[in-house]
Amino acid sequence: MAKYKRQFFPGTTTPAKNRRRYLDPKVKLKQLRDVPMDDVVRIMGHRAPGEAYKSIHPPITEANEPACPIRKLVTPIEGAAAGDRVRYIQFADSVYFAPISPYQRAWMYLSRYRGVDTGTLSGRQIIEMRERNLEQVAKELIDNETFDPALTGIRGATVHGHSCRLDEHGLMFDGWQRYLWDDKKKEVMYVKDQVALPLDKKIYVGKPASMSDLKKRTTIFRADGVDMRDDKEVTDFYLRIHTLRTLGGYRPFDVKGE
Amino acid sequence: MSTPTVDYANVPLPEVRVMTHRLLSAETTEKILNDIDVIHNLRQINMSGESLPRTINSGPAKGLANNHTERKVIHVNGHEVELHCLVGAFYIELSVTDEAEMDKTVDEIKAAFDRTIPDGYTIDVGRYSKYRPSLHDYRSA
Amino acid sequence: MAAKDQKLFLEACKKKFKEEPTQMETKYYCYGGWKQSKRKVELQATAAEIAKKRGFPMMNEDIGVPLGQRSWMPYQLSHTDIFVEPDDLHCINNPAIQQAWDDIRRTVLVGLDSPHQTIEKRLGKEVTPETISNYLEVVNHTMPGGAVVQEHMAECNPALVADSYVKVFSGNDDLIDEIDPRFVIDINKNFPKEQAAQLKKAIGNTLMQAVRVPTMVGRLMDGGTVSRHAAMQISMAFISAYKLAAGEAAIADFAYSAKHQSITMGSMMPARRVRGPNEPGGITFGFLDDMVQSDRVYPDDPGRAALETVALAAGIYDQVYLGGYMSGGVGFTQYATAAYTDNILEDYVYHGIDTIKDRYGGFCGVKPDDYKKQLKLADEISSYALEMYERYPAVMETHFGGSQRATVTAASTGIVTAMATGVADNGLNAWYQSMLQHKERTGRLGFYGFDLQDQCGSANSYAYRSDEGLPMELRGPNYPNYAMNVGHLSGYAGIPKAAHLARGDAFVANPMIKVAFSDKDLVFDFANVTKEFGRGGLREFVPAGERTAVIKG
Repeated sequence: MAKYKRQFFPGTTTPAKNRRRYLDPKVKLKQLRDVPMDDVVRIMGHRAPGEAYKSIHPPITEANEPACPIRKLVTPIEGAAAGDRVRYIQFADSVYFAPISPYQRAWMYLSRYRGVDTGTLSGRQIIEMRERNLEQVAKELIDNETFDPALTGIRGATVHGHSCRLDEHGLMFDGWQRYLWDDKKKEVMYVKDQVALPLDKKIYVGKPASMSDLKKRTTIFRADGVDMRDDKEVTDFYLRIHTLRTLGGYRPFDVKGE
Repeated sequence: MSTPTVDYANVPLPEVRVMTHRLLSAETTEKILNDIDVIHNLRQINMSGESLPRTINSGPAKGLANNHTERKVIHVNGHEVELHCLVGAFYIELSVTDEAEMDKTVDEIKAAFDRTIPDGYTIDVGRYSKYRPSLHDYRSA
Repeated sequence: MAAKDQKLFLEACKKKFKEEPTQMETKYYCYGGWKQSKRKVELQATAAEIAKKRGFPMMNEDIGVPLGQRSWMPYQLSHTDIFVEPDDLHCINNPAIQQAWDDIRRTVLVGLDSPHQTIEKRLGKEVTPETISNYLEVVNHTMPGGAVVQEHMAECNPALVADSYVKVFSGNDDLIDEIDPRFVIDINKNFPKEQAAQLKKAIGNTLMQAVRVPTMVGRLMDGGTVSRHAAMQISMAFISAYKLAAGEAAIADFAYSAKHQSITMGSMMPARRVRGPNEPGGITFGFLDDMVQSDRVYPDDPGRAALETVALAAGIYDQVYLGGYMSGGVGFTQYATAAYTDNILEDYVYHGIDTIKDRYGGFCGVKPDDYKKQLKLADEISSYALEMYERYPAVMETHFGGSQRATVTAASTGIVTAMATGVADNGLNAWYQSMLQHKERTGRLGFYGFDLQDQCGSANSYAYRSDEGLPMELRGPNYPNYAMNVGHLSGYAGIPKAAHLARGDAFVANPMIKVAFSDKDLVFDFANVTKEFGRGGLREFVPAGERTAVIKG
């Protein structure tokens, strides 16, 4: 039997290819901006830059861990070893060709990172991790191609907006206006942290991409973009999952050659 | 207090609904309102959009001023109106007596939106809002 | 106006007003029309007075044209011209939704065959159409709370229990013809001929009572009390009507048959969700489907009947049961109402019906075991719904939450596939196909608690094994996978209804429930569910069980 090779996602169309790239941990995602780590920490709002990490237990090396084969098998991530709190960052992704959408985020996180807990909703996606690891991941996710300043929101609470029309500058709606359009610089700047506490300084996260660029980067199939019906492989893939599950619960003996 | 709304509240007058392709800034909202305010045969205009709270109403920032840049006072026909929505739709109720008058009014509304809304809009005529009082209107009774 | 726009305008008017917009003499253009109604003038005067006190919401009087702002547009009750605010459809506010539930809960069907045998064979008394009519007169006195047997019995105030009654029906026309028509639910009168024939054949010679205990009883006690109340008052009526001695052992047989040989609307639930019979969690989809009467009154519009079922199920299962009984708190109104407002599911379902008529052989045109074809159809229907959200931002914003879109999309797919195959389980399977397609296409669905049941649903859609599956008609909110499945139950209930509508069946699971809910004396009109909910929102609906008669005014 040939060695199994992960394929990540089927499909021949742009959104399918983008999904494959995002999910494959070997693919280094393009870095489009470099938001300073201290600013990422400010936007998340869990601690002030430079402040020590709060811990919820002593470092694992100092603790009397019970004899446990699983503990021996799993190397703790840095934050877990140090006893950090579990903190979060949450992204809201617009339906209007945001670079990535909630399910792809969940799959991508689980494919690329260790020590994550994700929750997936229709408009937003939360990732929870030990604080110091979270900060590294958050910076990656803000800097790289899965983020667009206009169509991705960093929102810990009151995330309404993913299904709303964009505003005149092409920004996804946010009732709490955590970010603003700077018309001079043509850039988006954060003025509030993810739960809308005002920031001490404006934090620029860059220029939004053009709609034509976003259509090339998105993972979302849409009737006014690439329709999933035009990707036979993806369609066959979801139908296969459905059919196998159906047979599995109904006539398992009919499942052959899988 | 606006008397006309209750005067005809039980009658489904025709309504023009305009949905803009983008949610409008306060500036554009002011512009389009001034443009359509002068059209005859309009009984009332209702705008709908996404709510812009004055203060943050939940979470760790609860109670702080929201300071949304688009929640501001605009001037329509010389009067001040405080916006509390990012407007995306207009429901314009017509007071017309026949179809020809309705067509003419709809054309004028279209012309105003063509002039003012660069990102486009859709327009249709029908009935889209409440015209009879419902439980909600008696809440403080 | 350009020709194209003119057409759009005409279409929009036609759709909204359900009549040709060129007809200027219609009610919609008759501006002074409401003034002809005295009651409405009074209402209007009251409204004006109240409005004066509180100010019309957000209106600014200073501007040339009055100007208002709002972030919520009112909901239009689907296939009606009624618009109400979202909170008007909260089940705590809306007396029509409450009465729909009251009318279900206070119903129990009690057979007369067994007590008649007791009277004839054990007591040696004769049962004739005359004695039955006499009994019915008596039981219509006892059921609301009138006393007949003992002295010094306190009775219920008739004004509080005016909605209580007992009527009978049977598949035997000869028998029914002989019974006092005031106490009969006449299948021949209530149903179209073909439906009446099916129902009578299924019911046979059985003589069944549709018992409606007072709304107040259900509210004060619970659904489990309903059959007890009925049993007690039926026994009293037998004693009186047949001049029996109250202490005879045979009397126990009446009570026994009324309590235990009756049909309740909902079955009992297990201890962890404990409720008695006739509570909403125990109502199977098939039973709820049979309560809906749209197909009786509008037999040529199966789409409407499926959609009315979705509406009733949204009110009873999602709003009252899951939003109230199970979750508690403010509930899920805005989430559930997505399925029966603004004609969105309407559009998807009617488009689907056109599709199967055009290209899939019409109702029951796809063989239930032609799985490939079913997959293709469901893919098409689900894609259409998702495409509408993508092409029309107004629709996307109306169903701004992924769960609303997921439910409505899957409901249309399930309903249409059920109609195409004539089998509810196929429709259910298509529901899950839609969910998987939706997630794959858009990269999002509802929320994790919503999605999980839909990820495993394909596997149980055809399963009949105990605790894993059931025919869709016999599933309900208490089916293992659906127990806390808010936002799904409305659509689920529409699926078996759709299958049986397509087959031309007069009922889904129980012909007697179908007949019992065809009665004109019910307070809630089960043929016009959305309209009734809307009337509730407009303060036009008059519920039963009000206590004003015993409260100093």
